[in-house]
Amino acid sequence: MTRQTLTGILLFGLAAAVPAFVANPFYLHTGIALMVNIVLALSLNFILGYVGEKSLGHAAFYGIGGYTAAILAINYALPAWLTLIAGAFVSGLFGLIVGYPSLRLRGPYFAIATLGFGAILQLIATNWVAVTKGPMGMPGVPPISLPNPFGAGFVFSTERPYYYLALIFVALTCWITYRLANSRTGRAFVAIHENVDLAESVGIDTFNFKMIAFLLGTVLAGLIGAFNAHYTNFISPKALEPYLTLNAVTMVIIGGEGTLAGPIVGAVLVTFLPEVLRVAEQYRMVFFGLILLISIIYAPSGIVGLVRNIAGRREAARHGNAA
Amino acid sequence: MIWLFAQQMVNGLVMGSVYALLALGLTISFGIARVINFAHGELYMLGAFFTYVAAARFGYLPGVGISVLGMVAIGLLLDRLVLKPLRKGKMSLWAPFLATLAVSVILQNLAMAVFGPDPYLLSSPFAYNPVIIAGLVVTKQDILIAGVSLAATLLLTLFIKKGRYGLAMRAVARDRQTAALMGIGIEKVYMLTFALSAVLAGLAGALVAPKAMVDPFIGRMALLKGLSVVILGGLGNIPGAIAGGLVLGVSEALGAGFISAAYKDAIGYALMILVLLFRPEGILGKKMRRA
Repeated sequence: MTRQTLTGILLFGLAAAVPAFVANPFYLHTGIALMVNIVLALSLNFILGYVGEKSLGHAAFYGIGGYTAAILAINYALPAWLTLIAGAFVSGLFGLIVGYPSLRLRGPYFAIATLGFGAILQLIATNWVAVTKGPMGMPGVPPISLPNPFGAGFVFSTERPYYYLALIFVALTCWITYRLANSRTGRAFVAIHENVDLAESVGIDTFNFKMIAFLLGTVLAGLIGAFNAHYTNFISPKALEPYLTLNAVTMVIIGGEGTLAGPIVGAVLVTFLPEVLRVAEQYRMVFFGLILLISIIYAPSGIVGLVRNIAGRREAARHGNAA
Repeated sequence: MIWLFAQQMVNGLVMGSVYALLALGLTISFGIARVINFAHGELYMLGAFFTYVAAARFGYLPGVGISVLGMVAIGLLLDRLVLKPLRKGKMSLWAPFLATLAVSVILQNLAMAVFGPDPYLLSSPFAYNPVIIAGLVVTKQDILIAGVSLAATLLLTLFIKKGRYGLAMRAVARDRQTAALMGIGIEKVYMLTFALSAVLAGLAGALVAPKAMVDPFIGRMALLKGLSVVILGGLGNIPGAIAGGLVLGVSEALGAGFISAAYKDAIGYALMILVLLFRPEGILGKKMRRA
């Protein structure tokens, strides 16, 4: 077992033990919010970090997942396991619709196209009142409940079951990222990120791989969006807001794009740093913007990249002394 | 029906000339400095707020003048503080792109902290008492908007086509390294580019504000409109930006009048995506080599 897997298992063990020691629902709630952010950041990381396509419409997929789950649960009373899957599926479907034409575009054109698609989807969520109930959103999304063929199902009525479900989603996302990074597909992603033309010239079907990354990202964003709609019992066009995309982009960039640890570190920082530093509510986004800006100028490979750099330099220094 | 059509054409051309101003700023920063400025919408918003603050003391037109000076300063700051540090080494498109995105968040939320989320009304002496020309209703503000946009566009085109600095700008746009070797101060060219770009965005904001409301979030929409136009006309293409602006303004006005007012904004985005998919070089652009 590698050190990396061991660290991962240890961290998940710790996270799983938290609810046993923490009774305060506020802390559990913060933990759930953090895990939603982690999954969102990791889902964007497939697109932004691995194949390096600058998607600026990611929040739209999170919102589509949420709306799908809300509409199916409220209007058709479908069980939550089905609405969660449907949220992920429909979001992936939109990923296909958006990705298929856009991923043929290069660089800034792709970013602008996703920005436009995101804006259109938000307009639809706001204006298609018959289905989405318009700008006020849809309250009363029922809580998640597990079916029980022999009696009453188990309804998620406290934070604790949500906490564990979120943890399962985080574990799933991390596992996919980890497996992918060490696979042929993952190496193809990185090759595309480094140099599309070169990747194409050695026989990598770049469009296909970009599509895989985009679908993976949108499906996971839809899943966690659906989860959050059930958890908060609410969905509104705000879930598709560009600022949410920006939050996700910030998490991926300040943590370190194209790594497993980076987006997690980024999500932790974005979730907790304003609390720890007691940044006033109205300056919170200013603060994120500044952090993002400083990170781009001084640490373009993020915190994980910075740590690796320092570690690498130490290593080099040690070897230098030995020689 | 014909009257509605004509009236919507006029409204569309007025808004279109604002879109053209917005797009000109975006297109020169891309064409010359290779920066897609995601904070361009916030420059527009700042132009409107600067005018609002200055107009309260000095009146509308002097307010617009003061706002233009303010925008020169903002453009220079943007270039010196944010973009210059990113120009070291290999020019990547991605770093300035993200950096301007961060600047946009910062400016939007600073404005939010200073002015609050509620919209302000910037009053202009020209916005009332519409004049009726051949049965069509126009305000003097509309005429001002169209006139100033036209003048700014002509001046910019002349400046870039004829002037000494314009020549330097075109040289840097063509090939930054060769331009530097020929003794062009490229840093000066970049400063000039962003100052001009900011002034154009701010001017658009200052002119439209009396027709709409001013709040910290108007930049978001402005950016999307500007980008749509720039894509319609072809990135970095100046005549394209002007034509694209007018096309977008007119199609939105006709769409709002004849199809659906709620989805008016979607028309622009849909146009943009269609052009991206089928003619990424823009409606006026020359066929691109596949980049």
